[in-house]
Amino acid sequence: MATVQQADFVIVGSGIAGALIAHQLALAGKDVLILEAGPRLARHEIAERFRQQVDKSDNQAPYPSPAHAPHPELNPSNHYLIQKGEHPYDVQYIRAVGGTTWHWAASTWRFLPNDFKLKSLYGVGLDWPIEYADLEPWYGRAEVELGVWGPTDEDLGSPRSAPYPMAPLPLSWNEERVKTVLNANGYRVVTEPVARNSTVYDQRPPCCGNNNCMPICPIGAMYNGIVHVDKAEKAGARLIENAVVFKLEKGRDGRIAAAHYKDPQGNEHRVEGRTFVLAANGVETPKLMLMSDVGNSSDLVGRHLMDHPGTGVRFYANEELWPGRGPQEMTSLIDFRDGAFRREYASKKIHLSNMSRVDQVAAELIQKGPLLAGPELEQQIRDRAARFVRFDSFHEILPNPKNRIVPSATERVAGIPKPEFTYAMDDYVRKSAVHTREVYAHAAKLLGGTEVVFEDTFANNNHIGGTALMGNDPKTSVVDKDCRTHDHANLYIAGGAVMPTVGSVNTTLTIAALALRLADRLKQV
Amino acid sequence: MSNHASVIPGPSPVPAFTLSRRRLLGAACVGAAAGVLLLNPVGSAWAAAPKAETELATFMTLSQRLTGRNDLDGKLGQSLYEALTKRDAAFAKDLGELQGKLGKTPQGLSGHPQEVARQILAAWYLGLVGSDHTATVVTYQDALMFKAVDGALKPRAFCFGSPGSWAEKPVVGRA
Repeated sequence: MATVQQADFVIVGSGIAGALIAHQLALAGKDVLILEAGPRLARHEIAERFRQQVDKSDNQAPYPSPAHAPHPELNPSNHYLIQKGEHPYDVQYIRAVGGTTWHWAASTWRFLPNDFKLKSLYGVGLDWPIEYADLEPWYGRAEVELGVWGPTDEDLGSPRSAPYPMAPLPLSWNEERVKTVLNANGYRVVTEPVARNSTVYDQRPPCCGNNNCMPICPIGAMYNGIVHVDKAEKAGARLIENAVVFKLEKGRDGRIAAAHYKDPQGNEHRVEGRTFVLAANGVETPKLMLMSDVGNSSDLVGRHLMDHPGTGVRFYANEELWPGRGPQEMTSLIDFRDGAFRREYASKKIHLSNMSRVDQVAAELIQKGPLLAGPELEQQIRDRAARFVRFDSFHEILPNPKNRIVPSATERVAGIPKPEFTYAMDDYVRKSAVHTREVYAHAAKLLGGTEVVFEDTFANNNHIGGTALMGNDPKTSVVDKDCRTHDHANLYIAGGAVMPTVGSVNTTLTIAALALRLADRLKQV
Repeated sequence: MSNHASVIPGPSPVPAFTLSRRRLLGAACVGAAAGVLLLNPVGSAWAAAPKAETELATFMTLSQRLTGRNDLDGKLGQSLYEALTKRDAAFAKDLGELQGKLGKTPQGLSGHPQEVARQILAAWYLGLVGSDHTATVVTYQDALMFKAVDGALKPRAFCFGSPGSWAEKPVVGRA
């Protein structure tokens, strides 16, 4: 039977964006209701599922796809994502209370000032309707909320008005060695800012090197969105889990009147609100808007879908580095984040993996090649785990209206359309990847690398961007600079969907900064 | 879903190779208490015991040969053997074939016996029985691959040590 609920602020999605906004509004005494499609999860259960899972490289495996609110499952695929383009948009995200930052590298980069002006500076992509200076205070607030450590002695190119909340823990031996070798040869490898505790912060412990940031930090030393869900609820926000919003109901004067959701039994519920915030990531948010024919007078909802297409390299160094001690990632190579080359090809960040490779090399040695046994096998496992090197990269793909997500016209699950993607690489990324490969080859040479294997697959890095662009002109954007939809006075969007460009770094801190900035506006509503 | 029944407790000091009838029965009783094993009356367990004992002993002997280790954990070995035979009813027969073909060094193996040797090595070193997504995780933290790296690395999702201790140059053999 249908029920009706009410709230002043209805937030769809409880990931980092929705949770930060809910927390701020609840602290301000507002009446807040969060609707989350997925279930509540317990950290210790996620960690135990990881220990029991077969493929330790599968970051989705500890998060079973809910039948009523599916998310991508990889091995085997649950075929939730429908691919129609020349390149699959193989995204991973989590539908659960707290959202996808349950598993992430915790990298909390700020964009560079020039990232906001790609069009005017380099003649490609789009400009944002706001500048770095507009977001700077909110970056700082976000770093405090999440608990970020960053380098005290390295300039990362994003001016700061306040120091990082925490100093970093020391680099792992692996990262210190690779940094030393590359920097001695003209590269710039720096300590990466991360939302990971180096001391007790916000009642959470310091990192003790579980080397398991993805798919789950077992001790909560790394920030997850669930932190602010808990805080929001303590401050008085309400949350309904397993509430899959499938329709936004339009009311008078172009306002949104209600959100309709299904519970796991398929019962439909109506939630009336004064203000609605969509924070269901850059895939589910535009899907919901298109299903509801909402906010799309520009015909741009779902378009300009972006990510950070990645390439990688692996090899064996000529010395023992022992990746796997400490967190999974602590450094980045930042020489190619900005420059005149952006007229011609994509900016990028390159990063060294510090993930343990014991299981990977042991499986490769046992399952392939000549049969090894006994001490010889153990010596090879030891040697390969010690000398394994892997770099990955994020390339800045340009916003292109042809890259898009729509609700499938034919494929549904639990009565709701699946997301359907049309996506392609462009020459801007491909050209940059050729250069990235040269950098990889050089790094391998400097580290005495053997068995060098390049991976030029343009892997998805799950940094969903675009799909509800921010801009000043209602004809060429979906939301204004305050993240309010041009079409509906009481409908706002939080998350990566509003980003006109994605830069070359992980987008979570920018999402968090935009969310806190939006929360501040909403307090005035 | 997690399967706590398959979690193996820490290494047992009990030697594996002379699995006594009393011990096998003990294991059977634990299994019966958990409602997962041996619905047969006690008498038939007695009758089945010698054959199972022999097969398990063969498995442990071959495991020792393949790993080169004389410190294999008996309880873990029993769990691995049960998972292997559950997955493939012909595994006991495969063991016999492997025993016949295994000369002085495993490197001489080829064909099916080599595949069986790889299965046994994967079971001990990876803690896995099977190689695709339907595989069974028999153990994670006690997989021998972590003994192979000898303290330089811990299994993921287990604490490495005090914050920042990873900065030191790793010394193999020191936890």
